[in-house]
Order: sequence, then structure tokens, then C-alpha cells
Amino acid sequence: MHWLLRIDRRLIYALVAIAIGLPTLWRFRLPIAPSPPVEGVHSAIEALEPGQVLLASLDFDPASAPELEPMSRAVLRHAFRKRLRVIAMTHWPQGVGLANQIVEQTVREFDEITVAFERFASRQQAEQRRAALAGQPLAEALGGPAAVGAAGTAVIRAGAGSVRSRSGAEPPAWSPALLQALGQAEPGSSALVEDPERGWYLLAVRERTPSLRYGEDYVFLGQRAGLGILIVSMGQSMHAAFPADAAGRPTREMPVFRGVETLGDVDYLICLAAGNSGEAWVAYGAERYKFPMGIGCTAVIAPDLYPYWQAGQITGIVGGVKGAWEYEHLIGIPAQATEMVPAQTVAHMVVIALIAICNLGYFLSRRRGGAR
Amino acid sequence: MLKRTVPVAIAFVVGLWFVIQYFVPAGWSQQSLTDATNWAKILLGFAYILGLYSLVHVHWLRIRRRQPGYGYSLLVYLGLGVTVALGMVGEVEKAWNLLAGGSASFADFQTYGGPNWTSGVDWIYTYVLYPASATMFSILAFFIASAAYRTFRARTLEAALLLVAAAIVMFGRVPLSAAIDQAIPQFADWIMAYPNMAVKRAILIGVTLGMVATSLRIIFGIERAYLGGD
Repeated sequence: MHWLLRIDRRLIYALVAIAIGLPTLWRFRLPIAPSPPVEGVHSAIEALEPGQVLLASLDFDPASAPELEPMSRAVLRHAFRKRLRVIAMTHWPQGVGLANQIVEQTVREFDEITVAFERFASRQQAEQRRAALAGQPLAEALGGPAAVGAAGTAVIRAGAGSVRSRSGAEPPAWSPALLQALGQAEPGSSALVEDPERGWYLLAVRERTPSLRYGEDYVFLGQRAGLGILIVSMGQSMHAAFPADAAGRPTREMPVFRGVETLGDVDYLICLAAGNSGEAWVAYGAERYKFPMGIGCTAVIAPDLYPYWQAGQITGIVGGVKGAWEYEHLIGIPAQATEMVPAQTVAHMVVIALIAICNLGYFLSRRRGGAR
Repeated sequence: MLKRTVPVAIAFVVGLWFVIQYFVPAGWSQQSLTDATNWAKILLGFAYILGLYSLVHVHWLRIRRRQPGYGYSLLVYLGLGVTVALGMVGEVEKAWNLLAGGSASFADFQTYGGPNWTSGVDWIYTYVLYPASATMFSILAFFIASAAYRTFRARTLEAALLLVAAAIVMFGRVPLSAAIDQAIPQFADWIMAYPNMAVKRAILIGVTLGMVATSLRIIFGIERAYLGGD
């Protein structure tokens, strides 16, 4: 047998590890052109008016989270940015905690965050200033009378892409880095953010005020068993299927359900699924109760969904990390998927190279009459 | 009669009715669907109990017989016991408060998560289930690379065709392909949209017809395997 057919599997594992690890150290940008299936989901949500209802079914567990969590966050960011009412749920019992976390963290990104800041010419200066203020409450110390850099205060809604100057110097322009730094930051914490045009900003969070209200702008219903039966039940009555949300609060009294009695009243449904719940939503939900929907799924499931897309039963498909990356690009918030795509690209290239090597070895050994 | 004829008769009447019901939009027809879904939801609750019993029973047998790897069954018991205990403690606390004249209401018993005892379940979810599941799935990247290398060989014409199509789709799905030539991702999309779609449709239609045939066999009592026994 040719040596090309006898590469040790441990070497293959090492190659894959390097392929995944290297792009996280050596970052590079890749060209992007959103594909029609991803654009189909994006444009359907983009066409909704503020106050319309998006039902998000986050049907996955932690095992599939690396693929589905980035697209879930991107879709929710898009929905909240458009001021849609969001009803979230899951079919997966193992997915309740995860779905709840994704919804709550995305909601938190839309808080009004009051920050004090100082601006510096370089990162080093900003870090020196932070070190000099160690032990003091940064939120009060920054921008005070003893400010070193150009100082000021601002109100930032990181998820909504808005930065409002309140006093003093010009605050940093909105950027994905600002969202990453402040999205979940607690009052009292600090962050360093670069504004390519203005310099480095040392920010300290003074306070956070929620801008999206639970029960009014969004709700998390939790999980109920049944898949197809549950979907039919929701088609009959949303409140009969979910009399209470995940925390046991009665759904009938929630303003987020205003005008939503059945699935037919939902303006768009996005199913983010690791299994077959997307197909169940089409068969038992969209076809029967007539509402538009799209599906986000793991890359391995995407080919199964093309017939539904081509038939117009779903407006689009967001498939795997690449789909999430394209969606992040479309909403202008590069995040998790954008960081993951280079590693995935290199890993794919390694797999393609391995297939080429094994076939080359196969043909060479067959020529010598030793192939099996 | 009770074991065979009655269940078959129920399956016939209910099965036939819900085929017809789909095409009857009247209120009483819709109400019957609502009632049926409510019954199904109750049955699903019992299915959970059955599933729990099955899990406990299977692993109990492994432990009793000291089968190879029975230690893992002990871990199943440990995980199940600790998770259920942490989940129940909060509920017991609420029940105790309720009995003692506290402020707990029925809605409190449906609460997911919370600041007190139930946060133990959250802890298990976040720090045990989440990383363990993600790790198991991530390992697939290594196995897939190794398996692709060892098995993906053009031994026959069909295998060669599959190999070429897979390589094009895989490469077309990588952003780098667009940088080389826009035609590569477009060709990958064409493979997905036509040859892949045609085959998927054929499989989908075949599976669906099979489901219709099996449903009819159950409704008309030809297929009785679901009743158990021989």
C-alpha cells in the first residue's frame, strides 16, 4: 500500500487542531457575498414593521450551540433593533437554559448604558491610565477633574448601534468592538475600545437601564413536549399551549401577546434547529396556519431544507456558521460567527486536502496493482 | 377482544376522523382537534414517566449483572439523583412555605431557575451539561477529518461522482472559493439547487408516501405491531 494511504490518524488529528487553532491566533479577513437563502431570511425580517411579532423557536442544545448560537443572537439582534415583539420558545428540554440565556443576553445588549470615558492616542496610554486608577471606582474617577485624556460621558445602546454624547469630548463611534465590550458589562466595570478615527477609549460603566421590557417587548415561553402536537396546539390557541411562560407568569396578561391568539397571528417565525423541528414547523405550522417562516440550522441539515425553500414554503435558510456569518454581515454586526469562519475555512481546506491525498495514494497504489 | 379488536377499532375511528377533520373547517371540527391535542399532551406526560422508568430499569439491570462498563450506569444514577434532588429541593421549600401559610402560589411551582436552591440545576446545566455536550460534538471535527481520509475513495464511477460533487460543494461553501473565482460557489449552489434537490425531493416524496401507506395500514388494522406481542 502506498504511504499516502497510511498517514497516522494522530497526525490527522494534529493537523485539524492546528487548522482550527492557527486562525484564532493569526486573524485574516475573508471575502463575503451573502447567499440567496440567507438573504431570504434577512429580507423577510427586514420587511417587518416595528411592533410586529416574531416567533423564535430555538430548538437546540449545548452540543449544537457553536453552530446555532451565533445565528440565534444575530437574528434576535436584528429583531430587537427593528423593535419587533419577540416570542421565544424551544422544543428541546435540554435547550431551555441555553435559549433563555441567549434571549436575556441579547436583550441586555439593548440596555441604555451610561459610561464615563477618557480618550487616548494609544492603547498603551489608556492601559497606563487604567493601571494608575487601580483600586479607585473607575466610573467616578474617569472623566473627573483629574482626567488625563479628553473626557466625557455618553449614553450607549450597544445592541441598537446608538451612541449619544451627554457631556465633554466626542464619544467613540459605534462599532462591533463596542458591543462586545459593553454588551454584558456590569456597572463599575471598565473596557478598552479602539475607534480607528479617534483613538483609544477607556470606558467605565456608570449604570445600565433596561430598554426592552419583559412581557411587553419579549417573552420566553420555555419548553413544552410534543413537537407536532404542540405546534397544532399553538395553532388552535397560543395561550392554551403556553398558559404560562418559563417563569410561570400567565401569558394572557402580557402585552407582548396583544393581537396574538394563534400561530396565524404571528408575522414571522424563525426556527433555529439542530434537529427536524424546522420541517415540523413547515408541515404542522406554516402550511396549516399560514404564516411566513425561515429556518436556521446546522450545516449538515441545510441540504434537506432546500426543497422547502425552492417551493416557497420557507423564505430562506441560514445554514451553519457560514450562514450565521453572512447574516452578521447583513445586519452589520460582525460577531461570533465572523470570528469562527476563518478557522472553519482552514479546517475545510485540510479535509479537502486529506481527501485529495488519499485518492492520489489510492490511484498510485492501484497502478502498482496493490489497491483494495 | 379487549387486547386486539377494541384498540384496532379505536385506531380506525380516530384515524379516519382526523383524516376527515383536516378538511372540515367548522367550529366543532376544530374543537375536536383541540381536545385531541390536549389528550395527546397528557399522554406525553406519561411518556416522560415511562422514559424515566425505562432509563432507571435498563441501568439497574446493568449494575445488578455487573456488565462491563456498569460504572457508567452508576454515574447515570448519580447525575439523575443529584439533578432531580437539586431541582426538587426548591419545590419542596416552596411547598413547605405554602403549607406554613407563606406567600407561595401555584405559579411558583412552574418557575424555571431562580435565585435559591434551583440555581444548583442552573449550575449543572452551565458547568457540566454545556461543556460536556459541546466537547462531545466538537470531537466530531477530528473524527470526520480522519474518516474522510480513510473512506472517501473513488473506487467506482458512482463513488468518483459523489467525491467530485462533495469536494466542489465543500470548497464552494468555503469563503476562499469566492476569492479565487465566483463561479466555484455558484457551481456549488447549482449542485445543491438541482441534483441535490431532485434527489431530496424523491426521498421526501417516497418517505411521505410510505408514511401515508403505514398510516392507512394502521387505520385499517393491517399493521398491528404497535399493539405489541407477536
